[in-house]
Amino acid sequence: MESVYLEKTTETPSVRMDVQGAVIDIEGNSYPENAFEFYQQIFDWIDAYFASGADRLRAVFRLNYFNTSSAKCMLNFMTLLQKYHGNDKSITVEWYYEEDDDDMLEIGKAFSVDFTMPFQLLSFTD
Amino acid sequence: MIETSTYSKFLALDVGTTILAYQGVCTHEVVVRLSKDLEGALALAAGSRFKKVFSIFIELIQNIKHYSAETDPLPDGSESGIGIIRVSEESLCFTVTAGNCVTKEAFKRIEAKCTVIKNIPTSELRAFYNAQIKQTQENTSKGAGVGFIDIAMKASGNWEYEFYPLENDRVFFVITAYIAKGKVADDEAKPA
Repeated sequence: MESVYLEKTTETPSVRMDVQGAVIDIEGNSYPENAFEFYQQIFDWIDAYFASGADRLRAVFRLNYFNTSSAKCMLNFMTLLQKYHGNDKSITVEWYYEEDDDDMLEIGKAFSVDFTMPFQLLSFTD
Repeated sequence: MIETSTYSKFLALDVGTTILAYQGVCTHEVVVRLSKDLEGALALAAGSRFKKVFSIFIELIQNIKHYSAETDPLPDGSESGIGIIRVSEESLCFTVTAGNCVTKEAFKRIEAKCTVIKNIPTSELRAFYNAQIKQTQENTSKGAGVGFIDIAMKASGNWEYEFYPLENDRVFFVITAYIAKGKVADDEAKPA
């Protein structure tokens, strides 16, 4: 199982999938040409990561802006993490929002209500 | 280019100060280039409203790319939609307006969708969005089907749409969103 790093572009976030640190860190903008294709590679990595015997993952979202296709992918992302949380893996989610970004805050709030894994809402200034 | 456009007559292109205007084929490369330009232009002008204006712009230009009935074939065999989009600044608000051709069938679908969203009180849009995004089909390359709700939400209900019949069973669809410059001005964002 290897760690993977995807470089940030104008329309895609940087993604650090770190096996040793047991963390996925996503940061930047997200409005790819095909969001589902972009996020599928991350979901595949998570599946392989847990299949290799890992028992914990910290998922950190520091997104600046994402489009509605990416929003659907975020929902799929949370659903996947929830599945592993239900399978006795230790999952924690950190959802960052800029202090005056009510849209990012509200999306995080909705996830924190809909999913039962440990979920932290954090402002960038925290 | 905008001035000589066949479709420019359908959009209020002379209102306010233009921040960015484009007409033509909306390939992914165009989306990325214009979003970079807009990011630079808005960074100073829009302050905390930057993300709302920016996200409505991205949603609308990606709509043109995916859903315009007028398309341009690309070398790889795919197609990108043709349309017109403008971001402007007025005294109380930023405006994003976009237009493109749609088929008669798509027109009926879009009109029905817009009517439903228009009738939802602004305070209930978020809950409607959250419910709808869970129901949308997965794994379609085009989008999540909640673009108009997202626009309505980010414009705090200050948005409108129009349809103009064209020849060949086509309809020209124009959508405009008004983003207030300050939170307190949300109710007054739409010009009289």
